[in-house]
Amino acid sequence: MKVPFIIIFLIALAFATTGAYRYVNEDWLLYRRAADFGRQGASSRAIPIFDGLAKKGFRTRDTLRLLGESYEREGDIKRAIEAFSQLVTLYPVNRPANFKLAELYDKKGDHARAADIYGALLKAEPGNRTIEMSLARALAASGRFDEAIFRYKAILGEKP
Amino acid sequence: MKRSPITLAVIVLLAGAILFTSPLCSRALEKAKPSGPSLQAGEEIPDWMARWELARTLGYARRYDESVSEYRKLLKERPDLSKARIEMAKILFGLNKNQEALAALESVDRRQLDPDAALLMADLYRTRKSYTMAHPLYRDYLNKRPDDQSARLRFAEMLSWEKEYEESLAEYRKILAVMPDDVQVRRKYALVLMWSKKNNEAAAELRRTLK
Repeated sequence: MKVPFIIIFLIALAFATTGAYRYVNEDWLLYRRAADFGRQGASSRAIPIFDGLAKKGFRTRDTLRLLGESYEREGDIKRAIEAFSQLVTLYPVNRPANFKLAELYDKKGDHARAADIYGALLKAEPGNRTIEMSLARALAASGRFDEAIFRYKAILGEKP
Repeated sequence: MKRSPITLAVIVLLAGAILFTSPLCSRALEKAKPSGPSLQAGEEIPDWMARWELARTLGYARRYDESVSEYRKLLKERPDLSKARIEMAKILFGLNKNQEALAALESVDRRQLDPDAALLMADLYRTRKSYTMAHPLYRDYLNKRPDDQSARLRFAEMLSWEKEYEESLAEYRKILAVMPDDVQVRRKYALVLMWSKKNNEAAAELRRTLK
């Protein structure tokens, strides 16, 4: 028996084992069921499952994201913020999660906090227009008009 | 084919490692994953949108001249933005540039005017003494917002200046039905009654204001 064949066989076996694990493991089954609920728009049914999985530490990043999104769809912005705050505490450099958290703060009306997060994101990705616009909007909404004007002019490439 | 014991040991160890760790791989990879894709570069945000928001923000900051300047740049690029034109008209009105404000509003399709813009246009026509132009605008506005007594009063006054006394008095009565204790409105009402030669009624209304 040749060595390459053995290696390929072992890799295939590893994939098969992983696949089987995902189809048999209870947490995976719950995760998929909750994800299905989310896709069907039944966020209220998905929330307790994602919540339980997140507490167990199962696929924390995706579970917390989906939990936060489910809360948002249900209109519970406070809990959505909690989920995403937990997520960015565990994964501080997860930019999409940070961006989502800032959007949620905006939605809640806490524009100053949103502006802080957008500002930090912009430092990591200077020149990103999406972030710059969001920052300018949050600054304007929090009454920091001069800073917002500075940002808008920067977006337009004009002298502040 | 014969293999050395070392090669066999490596294969067995490799197999063991893969089999043992594969179910845990997903968790391990989750931790090891990079921070996720970079946020979109923002190409979908056009300059005109940023300029519009800049113009608005300058307005909020009471930097009205700069705001109008940005609105003009925006409308040069996007003359179809009626909403921006209306916003600019409101700022021009705030700057006391009534003619420019009216010109801006006149270039907007009437159907696109929101109630506030329609009222502003009516007020501007009233100031310019173009009462026939203001008349339908006030009427439409008051159909939409019948509780705006301040606008109704301006309309009632304008009708009296046009010598449309009966129509004016009807509007005054609507106001007084809601605000019966408003002395100033009642005196204006009495004045219109006098102009329409209803002196006895006018006297009675004036007497009520002296109680």
